[in-house]
Amino acid sequence: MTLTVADIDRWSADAVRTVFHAAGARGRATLETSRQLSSLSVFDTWEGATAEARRHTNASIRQDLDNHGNESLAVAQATGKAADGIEHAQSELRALRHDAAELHMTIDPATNKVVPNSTFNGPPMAAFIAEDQLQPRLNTILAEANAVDQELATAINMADGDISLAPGHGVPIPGNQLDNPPAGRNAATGQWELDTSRGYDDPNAVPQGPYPPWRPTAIPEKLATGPSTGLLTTDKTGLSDTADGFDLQQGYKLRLTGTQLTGITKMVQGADGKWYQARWLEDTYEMQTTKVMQGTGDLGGITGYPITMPWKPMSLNEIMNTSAMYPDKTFYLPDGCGGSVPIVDGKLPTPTVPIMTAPH
Amino acid sequence: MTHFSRATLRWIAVTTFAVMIGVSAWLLFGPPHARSTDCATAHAMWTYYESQLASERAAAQNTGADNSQTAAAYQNMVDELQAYAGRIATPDIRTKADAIVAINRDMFDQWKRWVAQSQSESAAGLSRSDGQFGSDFAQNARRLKTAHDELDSACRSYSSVARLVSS
Repeated sequence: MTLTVADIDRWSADAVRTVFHAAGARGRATLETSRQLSSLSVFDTWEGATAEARRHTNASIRQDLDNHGNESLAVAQATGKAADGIEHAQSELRALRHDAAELHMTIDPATNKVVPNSTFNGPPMAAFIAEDQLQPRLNTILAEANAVDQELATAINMADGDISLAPGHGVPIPGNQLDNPPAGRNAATGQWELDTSRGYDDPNAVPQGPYPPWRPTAIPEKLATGPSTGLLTTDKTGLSDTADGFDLQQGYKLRLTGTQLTGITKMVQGADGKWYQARWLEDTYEMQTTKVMQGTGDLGGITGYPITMPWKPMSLNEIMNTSAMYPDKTFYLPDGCGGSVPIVDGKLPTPTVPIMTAPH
Repeated sequence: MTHFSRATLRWIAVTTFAVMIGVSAWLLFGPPHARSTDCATAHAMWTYYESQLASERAAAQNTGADNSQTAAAYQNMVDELQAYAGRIATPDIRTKADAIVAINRDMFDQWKRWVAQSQSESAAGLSRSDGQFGSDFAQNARRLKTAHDELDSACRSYSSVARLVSS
């Protein structure tokens, strides 16, 4: 069904954003539940048929939770984009109405046509010329609005479960083949990406590429950016000299920019018996520094105005090194879902593993 | 010269001296009421200055700042300081208030140079322009503190005199 101008007028970007926030929160909560379930090591100490059944059920529940969580996040992403599209279409429409009014023209919301308004008293040719100028702009707005509508419909269908996220996305991977990061990697800064576009009969098959070495994140900037560290004194780093009467204080913010291939791959077997390639993707980041001069000693009441440095790409090692300069302060690595992972003294948090207190 | 003439001359000399002292004091300190108003303006000027520093610092702590927005805020702050100084009539108070405005104008110019130089440098750690700007900042901060102390002292000493006279 083609939209009318009246439909665009009725759209509410705020309402769609409410769905965006709700879906995002739900997705994050579901994935967190799945993560916590994976850290329940109590069943690891059980043995026998009951334990096997419990492990199997546990893995199945986690797979369902992961699928549901990822779908919710995909809905959140789609609705966020749709809300931006709605605001853009409505803004363009307002501008067009303004321009039309100056030419004594108006937009018929039911027919999607630019027509002379009640104050128009020029010759028919003037109306024709004005319509010729304005109608193509209206057609473009309507085309954009229809595209947004289609994306929104897709998102709603995802929420209903009518369609899955991507071809092959639903291939269940039994067991915990993708639960743990490779040696030396951290689940907070990367993830396995399962390539279900092609299944192989042989686990030693060589999957076909090429794969993009880096992909930008599709996460909205607000969610991709972690909170500031606040202003930290550089005096403790030994780089500053407060005896000169000033201390350069710096605040740091990190944002997620995308994911990059690491060359780490493994083949995992799906429930359908086929083998699929999983690739470990590492998140990539940028850092922004805010600097402020602060008077010291008897000049302590005098502060300079802050300056903000441009965002600069930073490797995880560089981020850790910067964090280590302030051992008792916390840096915040964005987790891409609106939350953050704390870095203290150049270290990411160690996952908590429950300790068994009862004997076998 | 008669005794009367000497007494008259002495009286004239004493009166002239007293008038000269009075006029000098008037010129130096201005009318008592205007001076107290100007000191209140100078105090409000410094309070405003401190509030702007606190506000910019808070913005840098939380959300980060955009340099062009900060530049606009900085310019606005200097203009406001100038407006405060412009309302001060008492000459010695005005001179000190003008000095505070001039130092802030210098600091703003230095800040703009720092922004321009720093944008192409490393994002983390200290850079050459940081050190240079830091020294300039400390020098101006010292001048600013001295100017403020003098302003404060001028108003404080006046209020001591005013209290003495009124008692």
